[in-house]
Amino acid sequence: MNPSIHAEVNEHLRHKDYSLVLRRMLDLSYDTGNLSIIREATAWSRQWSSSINSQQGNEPGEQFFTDINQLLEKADAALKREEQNHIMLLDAVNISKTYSKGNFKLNPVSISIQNGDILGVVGENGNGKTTLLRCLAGQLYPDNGMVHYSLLSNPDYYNIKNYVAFIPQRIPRWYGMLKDNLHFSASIAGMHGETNETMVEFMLERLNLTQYADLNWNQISSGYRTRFELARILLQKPQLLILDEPLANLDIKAQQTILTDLRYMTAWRNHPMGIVLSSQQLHEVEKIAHSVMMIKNGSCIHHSFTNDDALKGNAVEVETTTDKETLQRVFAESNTAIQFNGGFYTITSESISAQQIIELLVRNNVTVTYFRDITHSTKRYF
Amino acid sequence: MKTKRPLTPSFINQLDKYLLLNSPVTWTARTHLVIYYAILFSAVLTVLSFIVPTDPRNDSNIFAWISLTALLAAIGFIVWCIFLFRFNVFKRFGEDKPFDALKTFLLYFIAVLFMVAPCYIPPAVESIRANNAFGNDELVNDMNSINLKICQLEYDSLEHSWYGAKYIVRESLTDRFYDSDEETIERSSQNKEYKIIDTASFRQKKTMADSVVKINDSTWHFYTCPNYTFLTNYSLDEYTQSKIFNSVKLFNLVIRDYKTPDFSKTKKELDDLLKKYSSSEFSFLISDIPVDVVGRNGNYNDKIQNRYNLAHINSSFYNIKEKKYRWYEGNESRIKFWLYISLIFSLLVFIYRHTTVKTFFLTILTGIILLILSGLFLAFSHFKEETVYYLILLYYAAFFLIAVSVFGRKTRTVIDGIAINMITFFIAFMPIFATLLYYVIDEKNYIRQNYPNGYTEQRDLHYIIAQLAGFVLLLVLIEPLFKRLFRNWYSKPEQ
Repeated sequence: MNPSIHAEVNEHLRHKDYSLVLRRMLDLSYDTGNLSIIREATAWSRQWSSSINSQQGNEPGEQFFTDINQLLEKADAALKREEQNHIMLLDAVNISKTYSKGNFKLNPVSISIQNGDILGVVGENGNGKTTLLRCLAGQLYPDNGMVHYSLLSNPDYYNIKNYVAFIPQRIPRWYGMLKDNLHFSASIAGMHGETNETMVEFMLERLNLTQYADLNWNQISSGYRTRFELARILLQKPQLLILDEPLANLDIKAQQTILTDLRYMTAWRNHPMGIVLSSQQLHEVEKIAHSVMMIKNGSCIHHSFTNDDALKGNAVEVETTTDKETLQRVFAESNTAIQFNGGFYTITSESISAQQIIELLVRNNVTVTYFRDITHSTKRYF
Repeated sequence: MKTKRPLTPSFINQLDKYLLLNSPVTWTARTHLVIYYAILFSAVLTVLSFIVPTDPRNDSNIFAWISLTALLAAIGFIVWCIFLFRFNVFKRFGEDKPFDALKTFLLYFIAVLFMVAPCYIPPAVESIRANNAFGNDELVNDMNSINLKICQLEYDSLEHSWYGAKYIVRESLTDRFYDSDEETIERSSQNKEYKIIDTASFRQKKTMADSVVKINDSTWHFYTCPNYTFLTNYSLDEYTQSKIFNSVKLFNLVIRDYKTPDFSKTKKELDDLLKKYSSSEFSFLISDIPVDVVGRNGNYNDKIQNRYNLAHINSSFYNIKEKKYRWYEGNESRIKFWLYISLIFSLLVFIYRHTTVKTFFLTILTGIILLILSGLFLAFSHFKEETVYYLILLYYAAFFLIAVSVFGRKTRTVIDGIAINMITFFIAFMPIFATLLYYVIDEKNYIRQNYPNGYTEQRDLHYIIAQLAGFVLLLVLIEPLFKRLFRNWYSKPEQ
């Protein structure tokens, strides 16, 4: 049995988080690679998802738990007991890019991604995130440096673009019924007949899109468009998934759902992959990414994987109704810097921890409406 | 699969779903739907063509029918393109199977063939209706009957004497004179009973005369029968057992031993026949002939034409003949037109599906610019015909070199894309241009088109082979060359 998912399912059941149970059971069925189990899990999820999602807090019937146990047993029998190895997917060394028109320049950047990795690329608008991603995806040719796609030997760019999937910020519109598009994507990836139907049904259910499958592009919101595009790309089974600002069109809840799903998907045993995503939702990305790269003015100024300790000291963000003088008085005895960033204060200190900072604020009756520890966050570079 | 596709039976929807799940290349081409809708449209068009009342004796209205069908086919083509462009295995970097490009092109070609084909239905139905209304021999016999009965009824008005001319034949003429009878004679024999002609004129007259009397080796009398054929035969007997009577035959049947007919009966039979071929509709054919007026110098023929309103009857025979026999000749050019239209459109669609939108339209623009510049160059350089073909071959060679250079490039450029599009589009036509060039040069060896025996047949055969070779060349190269070029070019990163 996949012990981590098994434990997770039990944990979610304990907390009555049945929606997550459904998603993780689907992941587990996918990990088995067994079509009949995937089909069974999809049908089971479809049977329960509407009642679970519509009756928040209500207990599902006994049958729900019986089905879970049966599915877990079947998955346990079908699951291959192989250790998941981390394989290098992409190795980019000192790639740089200058556009013939305009002044922008992407300075040399090096990146390596293994399967199961999520790399977050953060930075302000116009600083080179998309350029970097497009270079990695084979859409732009870097002026210098090289990108090596480790699992491909002597590839042409057609192979590379089959290997790497790129989801742009503005997703090109789909035509026709959404479900047909998914069948088409599965079909061109070599999934035919029953496999195609099963995998499309699975992907729709996994991304909670089943009820929208028969609609067309104009009938769904931009958030769902992102999810459908993700479903389409996943059906094509790329080794490396590159997403440019996938959170831009999503509400907070949808952002969380997508990010959680992405984290789960990189760990799919049946199809492990690496993910590179750019975003300005710094905190959300940091929650799921294994490493975060900060790009500013075309240069990588921070890579959490390589230079975690580049910035010394602790840092917090605080939003308060109190004025700056009061805050300076509170932290007068500690070696602390207070910076007002329009709306909130960034307090950095080498002598006191984030925990001590909030303690000081509370003790001095400072009204705190927002507090975040950004000691290890790339937010400090903004 | 839920579908809002109109007029599709369940088996088409099942086939569509099967192809979607199992053969995306075939599914995206939508050829199965094009064939189904083309058959459906053809069936409706056929029924309509049969239902709409038309008279085979009237002028053909297929121009309107073909225009309407072509318009609907064009709309069908646009709708097909809209659906076609939605899904593209190649541009989605899907599974690349051997022969996919060839299969894709052939599917497009078949689809366009089916779209163009209905244009041939209205003329075909018109022919069927004309054939059902009038038999081949029936037309010939009716025309003979009309001529015969007019001769019987108008015996007194007709010219009975044959026109005679007397000639002395010489090896050659010393002083040629072109006389008012539109013949070349010896000047000295002008206005004489015996006119002197050379052997060439003699041979020609001999083939045309209705009767020839040899007086001696050099003296001949030629006789021409008066005209008793009041209707134009339009080669109606070209494909029939029965033959149209000529004037001599009519003379022998009626005039030579004239027997007074039963006038009222003959007149009634003639009226019935004329009624059978009278059409009340306006005819473009006779619209500019003043049939109602016989001039002061009008002869018996004009009067008879006017009396029986034969211009209308002629028009009817012409229209019926046109409709009945249009498929007996010219089918080769019809098939060529059908195939080349389909080839051109399927090539355009194939290229559009393998290139970027920008490059596709820039390719068309490049073609237009090259055409203008080449036209100007040729106009100012007093060009010969072969220069045109040399230029075309030169352009092709240049585009070919640019296109294959894509294998050595790191990025995708528009110029490479244009070159690839150009060589893909024109490959089917290059053997034709090469053959044309060869024969333009070779024909200069023969003054005034004095070709040796079998030369023109051989040339025509070579043109046919060149046309076939172009198509075969396209099919042979599409997979190993053009697909590789498109694949290599399209997937490359941009600069």
